[in-house]
Amino acid sequence: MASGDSLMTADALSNRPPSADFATVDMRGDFVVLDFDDSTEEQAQFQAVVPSHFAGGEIEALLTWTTSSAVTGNCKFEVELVHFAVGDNLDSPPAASGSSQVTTAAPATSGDIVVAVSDSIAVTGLAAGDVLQVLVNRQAADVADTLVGDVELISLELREA
Amino acid sequence: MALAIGSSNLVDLGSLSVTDYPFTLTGWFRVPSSSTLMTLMRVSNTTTGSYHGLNYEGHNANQVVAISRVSSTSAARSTAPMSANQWHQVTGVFESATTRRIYLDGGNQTEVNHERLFDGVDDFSLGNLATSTAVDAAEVALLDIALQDGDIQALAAGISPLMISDLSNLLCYHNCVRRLNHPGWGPVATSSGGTIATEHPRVLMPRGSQAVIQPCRFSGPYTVEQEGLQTDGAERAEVNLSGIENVGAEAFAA
Repeated sequence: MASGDSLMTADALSNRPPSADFATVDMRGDFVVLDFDDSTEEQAQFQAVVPSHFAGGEIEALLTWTTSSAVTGNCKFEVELVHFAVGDNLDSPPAASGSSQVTTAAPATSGDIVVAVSDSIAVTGLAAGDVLQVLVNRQAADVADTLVGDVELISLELREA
Repeated sequence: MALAIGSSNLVDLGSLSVTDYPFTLTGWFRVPSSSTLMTLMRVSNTTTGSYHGLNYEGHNANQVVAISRVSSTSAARSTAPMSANQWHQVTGVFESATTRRIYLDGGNQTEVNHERLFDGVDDFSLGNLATSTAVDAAEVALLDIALQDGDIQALAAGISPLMISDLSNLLCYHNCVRRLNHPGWGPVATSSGGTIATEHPRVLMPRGSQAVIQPCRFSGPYTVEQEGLQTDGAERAEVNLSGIENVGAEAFAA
């Protein structure tokens, strides 16, 4: 079964920040994390080559995160997947193939790890060897995002759904 | 998270092996709105008073300068001002006694050619030693070479200093993410008054290659080769699974 197979894992150092409104690198103890503001909608970008064992299914994202200090409220993330196939131009990135938004509650203690799992995202035509760009946005302006203070993204995993 | 550094918490970068030209000072800096001079990074001779460094001239058109003072000063000034409260990549190349250059954000470059003979340095500081007003600093490095335009443009694009230079030329590096020395590169840096964290600029951090996770599966059909050997009523069979050799199995006849 391909379902459940891990396709990509990334930590904070893998971030390839956009030119503006980027999640900022920070340390939580000895861990490198990415801080997302609670007022400005910030983004982290990751890129990967689709591995050979990809079976063509939908993809879900697992975001491992914690809070800088908050212990109440909800954080809303959006995950977008952008498929770069042979012939696509890096100077004119294609539109996202799909996206999913997930809202998760803050941990009871800042520093406790929370995992947010997105809905399955279909990426039409995605094949092993293609480049897949993953955009992670905190929907700080969304009414559903009520968490005060920074959210710290620890890692990202893509799995075949 | 970058670091906010003024005279009250000035960073001492430790003892660095800068014995002559060329050398390069580089880093991301953010200054507050101010009409005063602020130092960003400096190497100096505590005996003679000579120094070479990067300054922000809030008192003079908000330019950033690469300055050498040996008896008198020679300063290369950026052709564009540094905007307050914004991150800028600043690089000063001290190529020789007669050549020093300043770069602001990979360009806005000026070169001056006044002779300033190198008379040694023994103090290496980061931050604003002029006043207690803090300047924000991140991704700072000191190299014992004269960086060229291409590398400086890469730094300005957000590439980490760890990725643009032969590490043997890197005398000192600190990303300044929330603190000093984690682990950094070069001698241990210290702060006279403790570090103050502030938001980090946009930088592509170096990381090693990532292993591809491959699921481990067996796929059939399987071929079973069995040899029978009967001793004392027991049969011992050797079973070979396709793709895997000599997985031993014992089968006992009923």
